[in-house]
Amino acid sequence: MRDVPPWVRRLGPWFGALLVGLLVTAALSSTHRGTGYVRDEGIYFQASRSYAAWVDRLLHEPAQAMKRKVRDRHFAPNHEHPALMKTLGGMSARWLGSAPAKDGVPARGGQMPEGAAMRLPAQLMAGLATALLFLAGFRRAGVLAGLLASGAFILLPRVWFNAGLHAFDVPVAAMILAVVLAYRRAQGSVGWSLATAVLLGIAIAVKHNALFVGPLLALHHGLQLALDRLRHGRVAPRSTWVPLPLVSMMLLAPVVAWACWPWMWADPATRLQEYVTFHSQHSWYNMEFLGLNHNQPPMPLSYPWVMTLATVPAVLLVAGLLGLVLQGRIDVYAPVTRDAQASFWRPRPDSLPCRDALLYGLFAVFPIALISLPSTPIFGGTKHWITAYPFVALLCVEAWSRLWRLAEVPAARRRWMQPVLLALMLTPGAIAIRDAPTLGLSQYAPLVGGPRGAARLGLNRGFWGHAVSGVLPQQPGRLHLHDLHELARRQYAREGRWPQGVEPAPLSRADAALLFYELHMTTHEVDAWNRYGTTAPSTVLELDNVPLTALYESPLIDPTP
Amino acid sequence: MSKHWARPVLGGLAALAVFELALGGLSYRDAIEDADWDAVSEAIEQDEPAAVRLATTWLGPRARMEVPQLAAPRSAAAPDLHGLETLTVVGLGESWSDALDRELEGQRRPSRISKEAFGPFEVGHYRFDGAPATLHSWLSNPPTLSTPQGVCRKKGSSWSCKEGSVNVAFAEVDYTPRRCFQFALSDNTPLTFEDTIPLGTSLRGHVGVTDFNGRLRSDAPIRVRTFIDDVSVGNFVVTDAQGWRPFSVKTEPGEHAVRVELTDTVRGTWGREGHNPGGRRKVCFELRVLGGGA
Repeated sequence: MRDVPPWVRRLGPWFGALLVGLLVTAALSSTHRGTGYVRDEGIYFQASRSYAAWVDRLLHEPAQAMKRKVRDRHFAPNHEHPALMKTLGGMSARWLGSAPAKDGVPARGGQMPEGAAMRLPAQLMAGLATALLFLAGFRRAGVLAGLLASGAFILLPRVWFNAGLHAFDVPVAAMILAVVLAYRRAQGSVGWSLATAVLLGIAIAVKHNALFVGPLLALHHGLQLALDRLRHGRVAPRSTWVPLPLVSMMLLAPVVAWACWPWMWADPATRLQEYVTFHSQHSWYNMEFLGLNHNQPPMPLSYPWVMTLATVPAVLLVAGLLGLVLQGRIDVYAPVTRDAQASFWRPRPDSLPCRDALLYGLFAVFPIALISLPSTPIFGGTKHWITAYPFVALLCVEAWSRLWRLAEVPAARRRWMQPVLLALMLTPGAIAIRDAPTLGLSQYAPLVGGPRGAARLGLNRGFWGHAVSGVLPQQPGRLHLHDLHELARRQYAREGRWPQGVEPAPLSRADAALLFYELHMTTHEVDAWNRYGTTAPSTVLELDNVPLTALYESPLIDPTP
Repeated sequence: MSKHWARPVLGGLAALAVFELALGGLSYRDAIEDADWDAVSEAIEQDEPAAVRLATTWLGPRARMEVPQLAAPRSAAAPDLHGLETLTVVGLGESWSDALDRELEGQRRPSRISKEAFGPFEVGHYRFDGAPATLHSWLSNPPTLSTPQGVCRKKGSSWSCKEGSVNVAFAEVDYTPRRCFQFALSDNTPLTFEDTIPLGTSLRGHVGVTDFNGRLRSDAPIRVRTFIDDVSVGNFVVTDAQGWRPFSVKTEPGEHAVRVELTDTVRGTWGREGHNPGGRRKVCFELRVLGGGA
């Protein structure tokens, strides 16, 4: 940090982190106004209103709200996922969002549409993730490294897309990052040990991905002890085998998670079992991969690895890999002080190496490896291993820091070379987002040729029925929604964004039909052909010429026989 | 790693980023203008739709919207590439594809006579040297349909039988649109198609099962029996895992009575929860008479 002025060294990191976090949140909030509501959001919107209504009741009629019957009624919708983000989304909507009059409740004017307000907490979590990454990068190698860390995460098109949604994937990535960074501090601090446990509880209350964090941190701790012993002959005191950070996570995190989820307050054993069963026996999604549709496990082992290659700019993947190799090697050989004063309370004082690359490497590889297991249900979307990407970003910083130090570039040249390289590394992701700011689920990295290249390779073109911009009929009539969820449609209608007089209907009674392109949707497209007597849609929504959504209508003129 | 390695590695990262930026510049933009579609449409407007195909299948929806020949059912849901003397192929960048190779179903690739470029499109004109032509199609000229309970009553493009209904429509088989006779009759009920028609050198047809999305491809097989002048010439079973299963029977030219009997042994589908007797699963069948050629 020699190139950083003193005042920046004192206040800069926090100010920089705050600025990055706020900028990212603001950018997400404004660009995602144009992003259609995905299927899951439709369900979460409904659940969020219900959960927030309970919070409101808790504030005004606490005794009533705490009754099991009342609580269960409010938290029953979508109880297969924890309640925290939905509750925050609902409260945000009550505070900032506008809502129409309904059931005698007058209309509420707000600062933004209700859906945008519901998305705000998740966008703030994305801002938090970039702020944390900036801080971590800054502490490692200065401002540019901080920007690299935050940019290498948020400027991934898939991350950008998911970061704007009222969903849990980017929030849980942010929370896992927070837990891991706190865990680093917890190695020498009792206070941080407790904070880590609380953060882990919150992470679990965001999404179940966080359930793997504790075991992974324990694995990292075990590897640390093993490396100390094998490489340096240091035998750790027994009191540090299962130290405070791990114990506090085991004891405190479940309590915090439970406290954040009122559905679990009653009959917790049965409901916990139901929750575990739901996710371990998750329904099999359809997913196209290299031209084949997969709808039963196992997916090819290569699926998440190839999809990572196809959706993350290669320069960031290569930098991350370099970071893992260069710093990982140092981690393995890092010298150990034999008489380091490690204890149960402070298992790894400063005199012991913290082996960050190993830690980041575990968290970068594990989510992808987990999805590639043959026994894992087919989830499909890259969002399911999105928790890996903050750690890929941190590994990029490790490579950045190590390479510039080794290269011994004179300061005068480094002053312009570093910003240029930083801009070059972040621009491929940035231009991909600029190309598809609201259609990130269909965006692919330059190396596979973008959306056209991916279509040629037979990779999924998108899912969730959100890409409706410009394809909705403007004339009154009955519309078959296809993969657009009815609850998402109702949200558009609540916000006055649904065409007047267009009502949902089954295909057999619809005047027009939407069709969202995925390989397994061919069945539904053929149904539309039969229904309307034509194979030609009237409107097609494309990304770089790749059809994503079509509107079929009865043709005015008979097609060529 | 030393300075001598670190500098080239940093340079390599910069070079990779520049390479990706260049690729991004090419990838993240529209490659097709509206005028390109117009030019292609005009270039092939005189071509017989049955002999026109799209090589770049992912462009399908827009292609069918812009080019009437590609929207025609005989092009968009063709059974295969047999029975054609000439072929016009529209493709982005190249006028052939692996998908078209699969549609050849064992036939030799046609020879290209000419190609033209329209913006990013290539339109190739091909000839199947010595290949037989399509003389007759049951989809265009339907035969008599019957079940053990009697002859099915025809109304428009559908038939009403005692054990269920049959219709000619588009169907999805193995994620590809086809046009065929579709039916889901009660278990083990044979559906018979029969007609006396002038034959050429072969009968060529396909049997498949619709709705690949909804199923795990573990359903009961379909029994197919083919007779010419009451002599059995083909007897086989088709499973749903076989996709769009082709079959061919050599024939003697001239007028003959052709009968094809299809029996869905158990209707419905098997999934994670067991057998579902309902659902969307149907048997899909088409047959053509081919003849002529070398």
